[in-house]
Amino acid sequence: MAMLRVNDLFVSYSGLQVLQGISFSMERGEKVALIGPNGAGKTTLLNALTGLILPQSGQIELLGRDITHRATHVRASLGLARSFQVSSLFPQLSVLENVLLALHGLHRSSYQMLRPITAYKGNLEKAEEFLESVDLLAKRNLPSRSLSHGEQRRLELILSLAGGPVALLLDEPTAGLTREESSALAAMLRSPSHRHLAVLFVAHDLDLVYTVAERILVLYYGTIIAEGTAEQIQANQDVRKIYVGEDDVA
Amino acid sequence: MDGFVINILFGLSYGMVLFLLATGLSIVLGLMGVVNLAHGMLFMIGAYAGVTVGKLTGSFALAILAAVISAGLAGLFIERGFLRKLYKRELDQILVTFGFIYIITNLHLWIYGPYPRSGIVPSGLSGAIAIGAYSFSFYRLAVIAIGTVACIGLFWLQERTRIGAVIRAGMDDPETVYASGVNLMTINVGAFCFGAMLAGLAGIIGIPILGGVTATTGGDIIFVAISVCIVGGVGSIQGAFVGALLIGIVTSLAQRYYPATAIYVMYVLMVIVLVLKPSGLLGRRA
Amino acid sequence: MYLAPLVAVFLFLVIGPPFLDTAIISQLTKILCFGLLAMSLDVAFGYTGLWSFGHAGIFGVAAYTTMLFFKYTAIHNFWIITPVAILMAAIVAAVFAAVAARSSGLYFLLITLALGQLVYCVAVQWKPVTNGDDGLWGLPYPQLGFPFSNISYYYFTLAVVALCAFLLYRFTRSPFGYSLVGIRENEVRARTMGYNTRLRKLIAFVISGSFAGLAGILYVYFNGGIAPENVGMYASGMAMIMVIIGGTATLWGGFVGSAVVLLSQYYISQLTPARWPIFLGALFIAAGFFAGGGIFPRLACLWKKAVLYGDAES
Repeated sequence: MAMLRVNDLFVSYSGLQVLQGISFSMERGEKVALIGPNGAGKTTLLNALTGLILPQSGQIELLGRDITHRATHVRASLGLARSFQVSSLFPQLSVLENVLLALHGLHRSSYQMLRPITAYKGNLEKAEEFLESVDLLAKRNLPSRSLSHGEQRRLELILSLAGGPVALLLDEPTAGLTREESSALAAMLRSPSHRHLAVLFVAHDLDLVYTVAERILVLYYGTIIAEGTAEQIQANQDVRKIYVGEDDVA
Repeated sequence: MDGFVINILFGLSYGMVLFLLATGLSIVLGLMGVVNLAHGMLFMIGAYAGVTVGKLTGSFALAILAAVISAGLAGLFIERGFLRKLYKRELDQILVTFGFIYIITNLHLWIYGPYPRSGIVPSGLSGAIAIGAYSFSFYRLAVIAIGTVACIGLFWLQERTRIGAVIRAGMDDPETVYASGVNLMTINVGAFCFGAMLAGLAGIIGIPILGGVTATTGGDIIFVAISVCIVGGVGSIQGAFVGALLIGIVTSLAQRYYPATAIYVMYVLMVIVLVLKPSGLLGRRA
Repeated sequence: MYLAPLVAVFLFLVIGPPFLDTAIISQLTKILCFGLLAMSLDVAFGYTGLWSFGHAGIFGVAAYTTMLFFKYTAIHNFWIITPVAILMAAIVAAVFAAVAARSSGLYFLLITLALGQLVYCVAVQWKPVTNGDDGLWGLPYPQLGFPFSNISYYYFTLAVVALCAFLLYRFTRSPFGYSLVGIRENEVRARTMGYNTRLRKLIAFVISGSFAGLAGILYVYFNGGIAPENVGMYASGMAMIMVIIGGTATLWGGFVGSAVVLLSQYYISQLTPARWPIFLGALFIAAGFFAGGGIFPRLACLWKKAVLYGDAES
């Protein structure tokens, strides 16, 4: 059974038909890149997958369950997580509190109203481990809005990983990161500890795409015009025309 | 049947007053995102100023002028002196305009005393026409006429003029409007003051329809204005018009057939609209 | 060491009253009641980001329920009336939240403002039941087995409020409490983390409303009765200003704000009773410009610096 399956998805937004007939699937642990020119609808696709926008028609299935019209938080509880292109943090909370919130979202204690959050030592340790893994442990008590751009991107990433998802959607994860930080991210995505994690990532950074992606989807004006391995995509005529050759659409 | 028609007409005239009052609030809310809780105060300032001048000079025209100018100036004072410094600080705008409610209400109580003032009906409009077995005053007919003309005029302004287009654009995407070189700030202030003047006009012509004005009128009327905005939808002339007429007519009918419920009508309408279509019947934003 | 001022204030509240004037004790009781109202509003407004301008309506529903029991039924048992009154407040809060659910920030405020005014309308219009503008009076102190006086009711109020403060303090530190702050800061992100934000906002508002109702109950016994003026827009505005002046999302700020507003009302009313609203209005305007985070956070900051300075010295 495929981890994630999208079937003939149509999404319109503010009167514009943004996605037309999108179909693809992802297996468990597969790393898939989603590329395409700006405005092609990549973020809209992620929004539809997470439930922030509802499609006009089509189906989305996660582990065989139809989540096309389910609420965002229900999809999260089924193991779908997402990061945002512009870091989407809890600005006034500390770095540590941000991660704790991410950990408690799907935790049995999330409706607990009388026990302090700090009493959950297990989660506290996990949070600190996550922060350690992206070198943010020293800044754990600072408000997250005081972090630098790169630090915020790293926090953004662990917030999406904290819930232990089975499918992860990343929106331009390396935007604004330095070379080293991007390589570290790529290494993390390819590490054995995440080999069961299916990842769909939107990227313009072709280095990241070629190092991490096992398969590439090319989205152009709302349709997938090409799908395949890196070599296949590089050889594809349509793709070359969009990225390199003459552009017949203004 | 005649009674029913008369009540509809009563509701129409009341609704026209509400339309003039609420338009300013609705446009400013949609355009600047500013909640001016003191908008009801502008109605009251216009009403009192108009009545005072009118009774002093015996001229209805001067009364209207006084109402419109005083309300406009008060609006200018609140906007320039206070609200412009709280750009994007919505909660602080609430606090400040709420503070003005206390101050202006108490000042009016101090100056004018606790007894209601009655409105002015110009002699030319003091008669009534017969509708079946009932009579309907010329004054109310005139109010309906004024409201209709105002609505058409404002709608034309909104849809067919450059200023209207700029204002509508400013509601959807202020940054782009600024970027295209238009001084949106000045236009916003202008819209605010214009809305204030409309409220003042509503005040002076509305007193005979409301039955009198007291120092508490300003605080009471803001809720009706808010209900009109919520029911009709924020940010458009047509929204304010539909909301105002709906509330006006339904309230009037309730007053005739179930008087005890009349005062709740606008709240019930509001709740119904919120449940069915939160952005209002003709609301712009999703 | 950081808690020292809070402890000092609490000690004052416990030990001070026997030495104080009856009028002052009454003011303190009033401050505690409205402080609880402000604290409950802070949960909805400061922590969750739900701008409620109708909390006095919820407060009033519980107060009126208590009065109605007393006036129209033979049931005068405190332990029966109180839970029912709190339940009524919770139900009204749930209705407010449900109607305003799909709107945020400013529109939520306008809607709760109007709904609070609806409650006020009922209180004023339903004359046969609520006695209209004059209100309902004649409520004696609760019958708990011993006679109450001005000062003993004060201690009763202090005990109840202290318990509520403790519960709400724990609430804001809990996973649920933190999730509310998360919803305020970034609702979309919270949803992608698995939080059912609509449900949580509803629950938060109902909890907030329940404590507001309890504040109303404590107040109505203190006041001997209730009138519509405690229920409408002006009362809700007062609760708001108490939270904002004292400090949003601080819980204790509500008491600071309550003390500031009520004490200034007490003293200024003695000078110019008719013109007090002008001062209150000016206070609102000043708060809109200068309140910043509120008095409590500023005081807390100053105190922390003083302690650190003292530590550094030694």
